[in-house]
Amino acid sequence: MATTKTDTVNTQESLQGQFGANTRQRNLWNDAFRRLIRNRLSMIGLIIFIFFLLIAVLGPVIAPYDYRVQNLDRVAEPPGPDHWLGTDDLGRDTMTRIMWGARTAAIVAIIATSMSLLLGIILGSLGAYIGGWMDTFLSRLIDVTLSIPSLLFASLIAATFRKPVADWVDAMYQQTGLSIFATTTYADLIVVFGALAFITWPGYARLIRGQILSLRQKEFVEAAVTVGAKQSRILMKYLIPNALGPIIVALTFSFAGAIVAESSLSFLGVGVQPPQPSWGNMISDNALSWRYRPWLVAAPGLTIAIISLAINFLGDGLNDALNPRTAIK
Amino acid sequence: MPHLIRLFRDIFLRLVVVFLAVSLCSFFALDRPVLRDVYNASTHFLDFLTGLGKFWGPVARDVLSGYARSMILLISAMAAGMLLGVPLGALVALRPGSIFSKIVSLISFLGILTPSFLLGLAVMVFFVLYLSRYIHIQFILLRPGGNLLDPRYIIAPALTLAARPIAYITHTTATALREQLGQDYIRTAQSKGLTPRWILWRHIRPNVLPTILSAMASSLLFSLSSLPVVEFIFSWPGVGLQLLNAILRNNATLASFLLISVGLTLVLFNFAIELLSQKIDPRLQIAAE
Repeated sequence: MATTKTDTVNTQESLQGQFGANTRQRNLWNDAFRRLIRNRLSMIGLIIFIFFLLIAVLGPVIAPYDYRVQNLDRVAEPPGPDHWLGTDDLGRDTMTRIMWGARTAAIVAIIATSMSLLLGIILGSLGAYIGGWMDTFLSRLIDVTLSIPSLLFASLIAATFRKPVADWVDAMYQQTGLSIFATTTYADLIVVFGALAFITWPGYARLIRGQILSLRQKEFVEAAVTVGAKQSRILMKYLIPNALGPIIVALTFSFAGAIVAESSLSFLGVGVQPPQPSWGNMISDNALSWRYRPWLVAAPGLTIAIISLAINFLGDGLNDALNPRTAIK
Repeated sequence: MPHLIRLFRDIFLRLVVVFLAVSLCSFFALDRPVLRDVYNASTHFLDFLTGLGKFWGPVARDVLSGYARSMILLISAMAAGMLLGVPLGALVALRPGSIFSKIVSLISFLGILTPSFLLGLAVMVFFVLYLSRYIHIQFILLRPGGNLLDPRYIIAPALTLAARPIAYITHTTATALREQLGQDYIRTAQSKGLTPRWILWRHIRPNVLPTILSAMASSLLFSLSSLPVVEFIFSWPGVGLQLLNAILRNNATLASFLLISVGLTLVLFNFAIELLSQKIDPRLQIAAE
């Protein structure tokens, strides 16, 4: 008995000697953060992503001009000291419109990903917990929705539901007089969010269902059940932290996907409607004059490309950092 | 036989869901208030179902001609994806660490990520600035009477559409092949003294082929997704452009049938891929028996 005790003490002392007396607590998030910092590409991605979010939040304050005001004296100017990225055919400042477009893209991406994450969590965990016919039905629904070409379907949804939603907003404005219903800008955004969320939820549902099913079989969860841990403790301490890594990675990738999908829809004219600026409709507005004023197409195009690359690098880095066992070297 | 029944059930379910979703959209048919619409929904849905016979009217001609034109693009894009993607991926996997494979990996990474409308614009700019003076043709604005089978018209939109399949198939082939090259049976085969070509053909190929086939299925999904964008950019009068026009003109019937035709294509293609991979993959044969 006594020898065992000294053994333990010795081991503890030697461990403390090895790692220093006040070792910083090592948990998943500290480790992941350290691994993320070491990855140079994903740090660049993170910096660009934070810059993008800052622009989206502060854009209207720091933008040099108003995005709607047309200055007909200075139409279609090349980049210069007054207008850093030039002006478009109506004399509107391109940089201001890109800043406002960042806000549109961020709103759409945040709300679309959170809506589809919510749908995915509800439907995925429903399938995994209830099982049986419910699981079969939901898995089938996931397969079917994944097999529909996304952009075609989203454009159909966005185009067909715009008019009813706009009518509804109009009717609400007539009845309530609330200023939030005065414009159809928000209705447009809701339609785009809805279309994007409707095509992206099955990815999350499949991921969450798989995570729950596989984690419930793991030894450490069985051990926790055996020692009598409460259901809520198992959920909070064992299931959620372990399932969170893949979900965060999927969130990052689908954030980039949502930005690209929003600009594709706006490019086709079924997404965000002018005068609300979006990178997609900036490109399609100026696509015909690319030969004479290439900066009008290049500026929003490069912005989309850089943002989507940056977020994808960040996602790769997060994948390596959060799921070190499954990450492919 | 049970796997065939399962496949047919899948096809049926997929078609039903596409059909229901399309008809759901069609009774929000664009120009009526939403609350009255909920009331009218059932009658409208019945109208839609009974109106299926009208398909063999003017709508059928539009759908079929657009479908044929889109198929030209899709088939050439998928063929390019297979013919370029598989050899490139194999080369990348067989020469790890060389400059060639690094460049190809980078390009395929970019190809998977680039949004198709940016790529389309870039291809358009490239063709107009550098190629049109040699080939004497306007690539972008397709004249209505132009001969659609002329390769000079096809190449620009097909290239844009093919970028993602090529990139994705290259990436998948390289990953699958690299994974197989590290397996024990390769070492066994090498120590038996078999030639590398024989190992590649008889030992690795059957293991990699099912992965490539499923990559084909998902790259067809990518291509179909970016079809409206590509056709919009290059004014190619196929399914995607017609769908956009139908939506803008509130023609719900045409939009529904176009989407159904696309869904049907995808379902049939997936069905063919599934049958083929059951022929090829011995593991699936055992599972089916």
